Amino acid sequence: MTKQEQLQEILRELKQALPELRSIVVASTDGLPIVHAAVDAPRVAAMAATALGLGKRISQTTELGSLEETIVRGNQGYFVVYAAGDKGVLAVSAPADANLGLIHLEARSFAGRLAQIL
Amino acid sequence: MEPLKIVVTGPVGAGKSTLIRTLSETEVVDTDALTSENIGKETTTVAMDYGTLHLGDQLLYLFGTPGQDRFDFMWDVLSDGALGLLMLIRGDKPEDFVAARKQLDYITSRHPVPYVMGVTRQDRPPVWGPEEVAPFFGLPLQRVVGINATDPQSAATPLIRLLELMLEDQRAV
Amino acid sequence: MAIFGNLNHMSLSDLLPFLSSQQGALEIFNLERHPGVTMYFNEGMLTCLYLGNKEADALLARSIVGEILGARKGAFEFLPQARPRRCSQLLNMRVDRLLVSVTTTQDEFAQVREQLPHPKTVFKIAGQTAPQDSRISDFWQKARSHLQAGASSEQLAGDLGMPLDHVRFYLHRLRQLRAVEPVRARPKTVPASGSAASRLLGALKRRFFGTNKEKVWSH
Repeated sequence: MTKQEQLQEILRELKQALPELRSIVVASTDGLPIVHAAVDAPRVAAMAATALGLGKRISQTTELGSLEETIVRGNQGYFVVYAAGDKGVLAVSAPADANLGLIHLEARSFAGRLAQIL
Repeated sequence: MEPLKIVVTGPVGAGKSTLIRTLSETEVVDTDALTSENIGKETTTVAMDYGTLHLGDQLLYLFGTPGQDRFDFMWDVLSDGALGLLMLIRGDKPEDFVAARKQLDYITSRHPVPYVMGVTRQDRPPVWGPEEVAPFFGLPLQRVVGINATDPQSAATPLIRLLELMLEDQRAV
Repeated sequence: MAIFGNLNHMSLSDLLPFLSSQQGALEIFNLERHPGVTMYFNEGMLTCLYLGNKEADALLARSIVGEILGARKGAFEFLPQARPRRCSQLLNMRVDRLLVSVTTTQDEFAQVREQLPHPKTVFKIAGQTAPQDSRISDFWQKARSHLQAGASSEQLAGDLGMPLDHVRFYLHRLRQLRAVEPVRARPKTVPASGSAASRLLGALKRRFFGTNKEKVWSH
């Protein structure tokens, strides 16, 4: 399998594992979309990279240790950005009634797998 | 006294982070990420650079934007309410001028912010000078300053020009 | 007998030359970006073009033909003898010339794609000179009143019902002709910031040049 196919496969599995996700974007840390299931992926990819970059800086400056994820919470849902190694970003959005704990659990493990490939 | 904000923008590799490091008194907070494109450097700013400058009793924030236009939302976020905008371009890299013009037009047509353009690498000829850059961008010559972003005096001149032009506009009203 | 097929296999530039000599209507559907498009032909002319239920003027017709020329997705069917039921103003554009002019525009567009202005950049009218080029003057006529007050490509695309990229292209061209220019939003001048600016200026000069008097720059 090519790298792209492996990434597509992970994307498919993540959708299966967390069907409540509204969108998924895998991007490079400098904000370019790699694989996605999302509307307006280029924009979301850039914003996810910004959120992750800023999140890393905030957790460093305020001595929170290494960043686990950056969460944006609106009254209608969540947007969560995870680091996928040094080179990748995994961003997912979910409705407000989603189980955030479960999302973290699954997404972190998928982010780890993405990091291996990226 | 309320701090004031200067925004430093420009295409990738124009020297935005360098200029802020040259001017800032405090250690610059950067948000670098590894690049996945061929842009001639290893890392690139994805959110902002942030430095500070105390001038008398006035605190000045220096914010640098990301260069790529996919980060245009950060141009808006950072330009909002800024005292002034400093647009940097590399004088020895004319292939970036079109992107820079897009960026300058985008920001200045959406935000009422006084601006100047700094043309970097004036110490490394061959390089476009301010008098050549100004007509390309359709700007009055006094809004374009040639600089070397690593030299503190030189890096400060566009800020001085910005303030002089602001005062002049004030008097003209 | 029937003429039908898919744009994937047969492009508009192959179809139009032979269809336009007949009288009839070409219906195109399943397009990615548009509702159905219907083009009416008679004696080598495009007489009328409908985008959904909306009748297109010459400017929009060129845009639509341009977009469909480049479209990969879309199905078509030709209805011989069909005549436009209502058409307020006949376009009467010669199809052979239309194809040449649209193809030229598409090529130019591909060349300058990277240079096109940001969709949100606001432009306004810069001079009194109306552009001579017929392809641009149609756009100019329609966009002029909007540009008087300043408008972005995004706003114009919405107001004129045109594809965003085409509006960006026209504004790019008009700018090169110095007919429009980007707006520089005028900074608010409040007296308070004036004194702040003058204090800052003094402090900056002291800090970096060790003097307040030195005129770093003179007109």
